[in-house]
Amino acid sequence: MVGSSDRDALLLARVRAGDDAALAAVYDEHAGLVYGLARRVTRDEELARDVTQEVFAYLWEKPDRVDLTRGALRGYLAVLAHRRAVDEVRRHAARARAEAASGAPEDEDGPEARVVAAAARDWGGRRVSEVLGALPAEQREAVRLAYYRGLTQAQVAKALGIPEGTAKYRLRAALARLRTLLTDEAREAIS
Amino acid sequence: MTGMSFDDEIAALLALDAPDVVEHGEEPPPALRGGTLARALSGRRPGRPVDAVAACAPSAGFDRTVADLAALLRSLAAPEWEAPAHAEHGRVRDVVAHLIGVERLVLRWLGTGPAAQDPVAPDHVAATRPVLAELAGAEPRELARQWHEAARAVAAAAVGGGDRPVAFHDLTLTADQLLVTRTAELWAHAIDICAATARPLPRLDMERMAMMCDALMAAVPLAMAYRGSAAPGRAARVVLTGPAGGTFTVPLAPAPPLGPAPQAGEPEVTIVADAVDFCRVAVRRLPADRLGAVIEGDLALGELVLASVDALARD
Repeated sequence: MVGSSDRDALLLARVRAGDDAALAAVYDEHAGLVYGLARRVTRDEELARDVTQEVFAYLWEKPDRVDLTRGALRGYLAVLAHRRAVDEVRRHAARARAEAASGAPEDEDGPEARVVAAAARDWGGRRVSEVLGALPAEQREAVRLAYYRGLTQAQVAKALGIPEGTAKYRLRAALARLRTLLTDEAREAIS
Repeated sequence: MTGMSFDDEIAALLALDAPDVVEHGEEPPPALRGGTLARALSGRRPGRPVDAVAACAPSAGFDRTVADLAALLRSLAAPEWEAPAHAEHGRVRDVVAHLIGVERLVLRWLGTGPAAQDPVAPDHVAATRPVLAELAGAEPRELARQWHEAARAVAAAAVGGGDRPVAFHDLTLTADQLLVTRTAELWAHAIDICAATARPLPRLDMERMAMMCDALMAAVPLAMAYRGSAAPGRAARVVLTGPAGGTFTVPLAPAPPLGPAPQAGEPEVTIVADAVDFCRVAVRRLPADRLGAVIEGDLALGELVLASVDALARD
């Protein structure tokens, strides 16, 4: 019996060794998560398909980027999918703003319009900012540094001049609070 | 990626975006699978490791291994030549005398050695016993000199041999395959000598290991037949990890001498193992049951393949 972490390591070793059957196995196990996340963030099927393809192509071409000491392959792919999807949304939003500034006509029914709308709704920052604003200031700052600026827990601790354990606690507490604050709205969005 | 763990990030995703998707996923469109795999494979060809090294030419591999072993022999102190090194040949000095005998045989097979006086014994160990007897009183330095000279003569005789068929005991190999086989034997005996004299085990560079892996995988059908385990029409996927390895689909029986080769089906078993360790099994310096291979699919067939990979080793 191969445990899930052993199975991840084995699949990754096979991908490194050029085993396309292993890539297919990874896809079969995780495509639902990758595609689902991409579609949820982009709100667009075509973009979600692109993001999905990008994620698995990246894994195939750069399997050494996966550090399984930091978590499972599933988590890595989810984070990668989420980031690629967010990038995609931001890219489309930027293009739409440029077009609007130049007076270029925008296709109201095209994917860009939907993406821009989604970006304004989800990633323009208003909703998330509002929710973040409900956090205690010390937790809000920790989340801002860790999740949005990409600092490690140790770096967050240093930046805030607090012990690492305190930084870790603030982050966990903040994420738990965010989960609670966003649950209702997330349910609404999903339905 | 940030320094946060994936699990922390997943927690953030759960909170911010899509709790149900993270939990359960979402069925992707059926056509996406083929498109995704095709796009990935267009960016990196399957079969080779992501950090692959190119295999060296058999002549270069043999030359380097001869140089390595010559250096090892030069480093031995007088008492070390008397250390027991091999169950059949005996002491270190006997292993080197055996190698002198092998190089002489190979020169004959390559057509440049002295004409054969006696038929060559089919057994690799027995075939060199007369040479061990002949050199029983030789000084270690003289043994080392004679072997090095004979090995360099083999290298010179094999230059440009390429696909030329050459006898090797009861097998017929190409000149290139002969050089790879000899490289493997020199490596195996270098392991014996290092183990006998408490030295770190010798490592070949990855170019030589890649050469050996490629040759080993090409020889699997013959090895299966040699062991009486040929499985016509069946195939295995062998995934050798590390820069010298790669992914190989190998038929489990040789092509017939006449007529079209039977089409091997889809692999019925996948064997995953470290490339260097796999080569150590092939030269009989690591038991197959200590390889740590992972076998998926037809377990019995996978074990049969592993039990056959050393069939062509001669030491």
